[in-house]
This record gives sequence, C-alpha cells and structure tokens, in this order.
Amino acid sequence: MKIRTKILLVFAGLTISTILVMTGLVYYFANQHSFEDFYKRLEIRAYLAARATLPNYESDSAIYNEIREEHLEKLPAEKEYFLAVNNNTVSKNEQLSLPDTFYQQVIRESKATYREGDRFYEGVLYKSKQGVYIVIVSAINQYSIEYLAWLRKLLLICAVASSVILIGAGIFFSKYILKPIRQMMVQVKNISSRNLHLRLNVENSEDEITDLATTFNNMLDRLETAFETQNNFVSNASHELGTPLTAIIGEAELALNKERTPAHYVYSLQNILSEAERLEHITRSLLHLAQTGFDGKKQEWEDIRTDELLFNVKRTIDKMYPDNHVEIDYSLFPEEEEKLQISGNMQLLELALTNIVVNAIKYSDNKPVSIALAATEKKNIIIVKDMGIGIPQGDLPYIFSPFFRASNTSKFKGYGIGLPLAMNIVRMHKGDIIVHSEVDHGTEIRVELPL
Amino acid sequence: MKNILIPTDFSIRSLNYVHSIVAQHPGEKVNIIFMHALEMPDSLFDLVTYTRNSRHVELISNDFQDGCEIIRNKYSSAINQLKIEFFHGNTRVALRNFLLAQNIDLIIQPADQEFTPPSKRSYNPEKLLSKCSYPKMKIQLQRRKYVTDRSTISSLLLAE
Repeated sequence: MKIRTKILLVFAGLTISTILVMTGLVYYFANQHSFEDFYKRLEIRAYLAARATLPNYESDSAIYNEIREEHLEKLPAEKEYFLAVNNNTVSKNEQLSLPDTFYQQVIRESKATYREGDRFYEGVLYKSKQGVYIVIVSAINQYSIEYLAWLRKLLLICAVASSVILIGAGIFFSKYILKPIRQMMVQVKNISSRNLHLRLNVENSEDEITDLATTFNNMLDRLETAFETQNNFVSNASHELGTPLTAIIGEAELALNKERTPAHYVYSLQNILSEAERLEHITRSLLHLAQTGFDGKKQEWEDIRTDELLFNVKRTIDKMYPDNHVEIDYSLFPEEEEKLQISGNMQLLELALTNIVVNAIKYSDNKPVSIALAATEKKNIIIVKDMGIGIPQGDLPYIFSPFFRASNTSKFKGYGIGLPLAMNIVRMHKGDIIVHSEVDHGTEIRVELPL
Repeated sequence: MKNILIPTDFSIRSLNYVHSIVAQHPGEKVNIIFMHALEMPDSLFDLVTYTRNSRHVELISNDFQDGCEIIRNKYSSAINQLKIEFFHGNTRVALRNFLLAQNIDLIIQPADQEFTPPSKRSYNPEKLLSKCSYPKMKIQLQRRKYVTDRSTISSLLLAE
C-alpha cells in the first residue's frame, strides 16, 4: 500500500471514528434524557389521576379533575388503570400484559417504570381510604419519537457530510505532505550511471526532507567517487601492468633484431628480468590486495599488543632503511598495558603499518617521521606523522583506491598499492584510517583500531 | 586530592594543560574538571525549555572525548577523575556557586588567550575567573612547530 493511502486512511479513520463516537454518544444521551422526562410526566399524571379518582374527600375529586382538564393536555393514547392490592396480591387487568416484576417493584419501591416498544408505563402505589391501589398510566411518547427521529437524521447527515469533507481534506493533506518526496523521486529517477554528477535540489529549510535530500546527495558523492575509482582502477591497472610488459617486449625485440655480443644479450636479459620482477611484484601485491579485500575469516586472529606492533614495525623499517629517522613517540602511551590489547592478525597489521610508515619516509625524503600510540576506552589510535610533500586536497578522496597516485608524486617510485592494502587490512579489523594532509607541510595518518 | 578547574572551548589544545598540571603535582592524585561556560538564553521560551546538560553535550566533539580518554589512560595513576562540566551563567555569584559546588582548589588560567567558541552561547570565562578569589595558576603552552591540523588528537603529542 502506498504511504499516501496509508496517511489518508489513518487520518480519515481517526477523525471519522471520533465523529462517529461523538454522534453515538449525543444520540444515546438525548434518548436517555427524553425517557426520564417522559416518565416524570407520566408519574405526575398517575398521582393526579389517583387523587381525582380515589379522593380523600368527595369534593377534592372535582378540583383535581378540573386541574387535569385545564392544565394537562392529553398525551397520545393515554390510558389509566387502577389495580387494587390486597395482601401483596394484585388483581390484574386483562388488557395489561405487564410482567410480575413490575408489580412487585411498585409494591416494594412505590413506583416503577416499564417500556413496551413506543408505549411507556409508569406505576405508582397509592394508599387511599378505599384501600391500596396501583395506579398505572401509560402513553405513547409521540413527541420524543419525533424529536429523536429528527435528531437521528441530523446526526446522520452531519456525520456523512463531515466524513466527505475529511476524506477530501485527507487526500489534500497526504498529497501536500508527500509532494517533496514525489519531487525527489522524480529527480532521483533521472540519475543513472551515466549522469552521476546530477544532484537533488536542496531547499533552504531545515526540515527532514531537506536532510533526506542532503543525505542522498552525500551518498551520490560517495557513489560518484567509487565509480570514478573503479574507472581509474582499470586504466591505472592496465597502465601499470602494461609499462613493464612494453619494456620487456621492447628490450627483447631490440636484442633480436640483429646479431649481438654476449655481453649485450646478458644486459638485455637482465633488463628483461628486472622488468619481469617488477611485474611479478605488482601482481603479487594485487593478489594480496584482492585477498585482504575478502572478509577476514581465513586469517588467524589473536590477541596482540599495539606497542609490540609498533616495535615490530620499527624493526622492519630499520632493516629496510638503515638510516631512517623514524621515532616512536611515547608521550601518549597509556600507563596500563591492558589498554593496548587488541585482537587482530599481527602479520597483516604489521604489513599495513609498515606500508604507511614506508610511504611517510619515501614521500618526505627521509625526513623525521613520528609514530605515536594512544588509547581511548574503545580503541587504540596510531598516529604516523611526516613532514613530506603532503597530499593535494583534491586527491584525498582517491588515495585509498588501487593504483591511484597523487598528482605531486611523479618523482617518487611507487605503484599505488600500499595505502589501499593498508586500508583493506584496517577495515578487516573494523578500524579506520583518517588522513589529514597539507601540501609541502606534511601528512598525518591516524589509524584507529577497536579494542 | 586537589580539584583543578580548566576552562575549555572543547579544542584539543585545552587538554594539553593536563600535561603541565600532572608535572607540577608529582606524587599526588588530582581531579580535573573541564569547565565550559555558556550564557543563559535570552528568550523566555528558551529559558523555559532550558535543560541542564542534554542539549550542550553535542558541543563536545568526538576528538575531544577521545582526547580525554587518552589523557586519562596516560596519567591513570595521577588523575583520579577527569570530567566535563557546563557552567551556565555569566555573573560572579553564579561562578562562585559553581566553584563551591565543584569544590575547586585551583583554577588554571591559559596564558595565551586563544578561544574559539564552539557555539553561539559559549564565551571565554577568562575575565570572570580572574576576578574570583580562588588560587590560580597561569600556564603557558610551549609554542609548537607546525601542526597539520590543530583540531586533531595529534596536537596532544608532546614531542618536537
């Protein structure tokens, strides 16, 4: 069911049911009240009739009859019955078909009411000189029947009319509420993989719909980046794999196109070998990247200590670059060592961190690099800071895509696999890498690993 | 145990005072209270719906929170408690009540007047603090070399 119909149904259901309940209550109480009123009138008539028919003094009878004639109009189909009571037994009238409980109630409480369709009965107990009597007056409640019928008609018309108005209002209301969403839908439908640069219009209000549009736009930003990354990957990968292949082919063709000295062949073969090794290195790192891209079920997980990880990395770096200036910054080390315990794969994390530190050394021409470690309650933070060439702002979104190399790195050798690999590994550990960088001042890479 | 108050604008910089505090209280446990001063609202509706903390908690950035935890872990034997309190108001009486309630022993006065209010109602309580009669300590942070981004945790690092 569409949300629009749902809103309409809920809105109409709520309001109409309120109106119906109100109508019902109005009718019920009006009905109730008109009964009571009518019974009161019957009661007065019963007492007057009793006084007139069974007077204490003969002279009273005439007065009462006069009052009745002059001041009380005859009710529709009004009838009076006088039933004598002897020792709690009532001498019944054949025309009356009243239940025994009615008579008993009259005797007990000295009055009772009874209803039979439109005919109402009121019985009162009257003690006179002639004996005890039950005086019953009955009449048809013509006035209130008409009144109630009129009320019923009125309420029915009102309920129907207001329902129609409410449903109309509901349709308008749901249309109005969902208008921005429908507009957004139309806009989103226009966006496909070919025109990912399109964005939704964001209005200048601070409501949820605007939030939604902004969220959509942010998602589109990320999608566009991912798409471009994918596109870049194919071109970069073919380029990276193609360069050594071209070199190998060129070298081989050059060696083969005429007879050469053995020294020349050796030289050529060495060139071919080094290019082939480069190719192998690239494919191996690619394989690594692909493997770490899967979820980390295969790897062995163990409890490792991040300070140990840092020392291992430092040791590896010392082997690779004996004259490095990598310092471990102890200023934020926590005092308690249990804060440094994380679960993960030591080899992989070492690989990731080594990649990051090697980058820091490489792109800063061996300037000092500091590795700091800090612990919060939920995660360990490793900060690698260099004073290198930095990463241009425009390149930052792409640095974690394979084979991407920032625009200012042309004089350094590299394939653009290190950072993506590190990111994959850190992601496997449910961590995150945050990069702050400024061109020519340095880069700060923050690796966050959850405890 | 001393209760030490540090005015803060929720920048990582203000966390750096903890380094010098710990250095100057060797062998003693301290409670550190970061105070953020907020003006009371002007409009009646804002006053009526004003709650003590909930709405201002979002002023505390994640990095500041992380930084607090890092500091607490680093000095876990020197710092007993490290908490963030909001001070609502801008009068001396209100401040006196606040200091009394928090049982403050020492107020840190940043020597450099760097203060970037994180919200419209935040203000630098420096003037108010200098007027009160509590013992105070001025701390000068050493000038740093270039820091790539002042708002990140790395500006907590002591090295360089």
